[in-house]
Amino acid sequence: MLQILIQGLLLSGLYALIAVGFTLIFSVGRVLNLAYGAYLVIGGYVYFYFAQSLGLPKPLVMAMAVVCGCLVGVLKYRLIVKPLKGNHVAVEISTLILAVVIQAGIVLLFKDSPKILHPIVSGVWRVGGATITFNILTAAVSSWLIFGGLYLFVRKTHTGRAMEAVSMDTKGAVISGIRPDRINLITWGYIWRLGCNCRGIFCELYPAFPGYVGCAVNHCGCGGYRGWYRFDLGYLAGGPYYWIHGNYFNLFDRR
Amino acid sequence: MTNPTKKYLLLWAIFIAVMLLLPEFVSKGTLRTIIFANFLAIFAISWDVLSGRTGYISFGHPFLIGIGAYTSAILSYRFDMPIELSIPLAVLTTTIGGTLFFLPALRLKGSYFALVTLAFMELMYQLVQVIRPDLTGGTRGMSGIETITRGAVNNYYLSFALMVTIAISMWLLMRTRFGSALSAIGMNEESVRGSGLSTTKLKLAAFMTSAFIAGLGGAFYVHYLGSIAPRALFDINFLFTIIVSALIGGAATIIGPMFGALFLTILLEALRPILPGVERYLIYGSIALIVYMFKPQGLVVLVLDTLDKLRSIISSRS
Repeated sequence: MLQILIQGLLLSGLYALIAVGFTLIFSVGRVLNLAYGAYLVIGGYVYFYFAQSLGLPKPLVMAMAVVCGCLVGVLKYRLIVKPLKGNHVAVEISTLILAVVIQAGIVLLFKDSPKILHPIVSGVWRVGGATITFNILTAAVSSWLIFGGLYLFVRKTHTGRAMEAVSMDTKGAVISGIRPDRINLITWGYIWRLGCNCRGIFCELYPAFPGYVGCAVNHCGCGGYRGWYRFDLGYLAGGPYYWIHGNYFNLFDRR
Repeated sequence: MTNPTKKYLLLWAIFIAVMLLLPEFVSKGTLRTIIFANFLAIFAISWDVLSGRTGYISFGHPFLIGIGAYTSAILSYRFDMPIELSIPLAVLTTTIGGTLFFLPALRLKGSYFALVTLAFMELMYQLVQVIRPDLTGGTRGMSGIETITRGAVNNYYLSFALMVTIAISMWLLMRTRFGSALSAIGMNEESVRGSGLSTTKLKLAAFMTSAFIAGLGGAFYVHYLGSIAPRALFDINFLFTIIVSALIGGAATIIGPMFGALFLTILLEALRPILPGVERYLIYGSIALIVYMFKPQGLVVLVLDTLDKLRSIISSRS
């Protein structure tokens, strides 16, 4: 039971991070990003290919996943979201199509079998009767650090406050001299980074698998607190964390 | 009868005549592909009645199709009920059950409605595996379900008859004041409410119509396939194909989803020799994305615009 509780609590931080990425774009751009699952999958495959297949250093690969995520996010905004600006339905549908395209692209490159990812940090820590892997601990600490960093970014930086302003009232933000287009671009780049980061630190917990494109759409979109289709007491215990962060600690939506 | 109505009826007659003669000219393999296109057209029309018209995007349509398919499959396979009875019961269950589930969702708007409907698809996927797997067949589903008829030609005529009946019924329904009101909701819901109409009742009626068609299509589909599995029904690719068929063809039209379904099914089959697996969706999805980005009104409008341009060029020359 202790094992389940500890694991649930640790993993919930990671799920919170995933959920925040989803709600961030929804708050700022008012867009339901159905390709969000693709961010996680791309992050996982970048890690798999460069760290495991090519043997590059893990910190470098994590940085590459972030850069790759940012690039894809910016391209997606420029090529798909911006031309369809003002038509939320069209943007949502196009993100759904993009999710399927990315999934198929990954299957073409890596085949559809799950890829086992090695842990970033190996080792085990025993607390009472419970066993905690350093990898899960690192994932939890990293996610809380990223989460804290994101909070500070939004609260303390000009860009973060501009994002908040756009999420509250776009027209009002324009009057105050903020360019919503630029803010949206930054947000799209940022959430891809978050998504890729999440998948990167998700290593070992779940294999890289193209099918997660769809899973994550359901998982994040529904604000559910299950773990990738798995349902056990651990996730129930960690669930409130995830749910609270995904829905109430939504950084901008004050309604 | 007005001239445009006569023109449309004539076009319908030509279309039906061509489709009825099709088995004489194409192979059985092609017919099987067109059978899938017919079923996809039914699902796309069903989606379009609700989402294409009113602008309420439903990501949970496989949920409705699944209720119809599973109900009919369970009744006929597990309880030996004749298909003539299991299909109407499945349609009734889909209409009532689907409406009860979706009723709270109708209070939501935009992305929130889309999210809730997406949750229903996921819910259904989980439920059929966990609740009474002895009935639903669990993760493996069911096989050996009774089929209505055998052979590609018979199944083609059956699916075509079903599709064309639904299409003409919806075409007639959408020409009534009800259809106009649904389109008006898609343009400006507040204005419709301001004009004294109950938008909730209208949306409910649209949803029930959509659920009815989805249930009917799902029930016939399962008795065509003879098997059912949760992963095949409640899958993002299946949902994607339904929505894209309606949008690529032309949303808020009847011919659009039919055309879109035929175009996408043929495209998917044409890609099979080059890319046999899920990889096909890379090209398929890219084409869909490009068409949708550059012509959101759909291929039907693109074809009509091109014809208009050709006509104006010819007339200016003459």
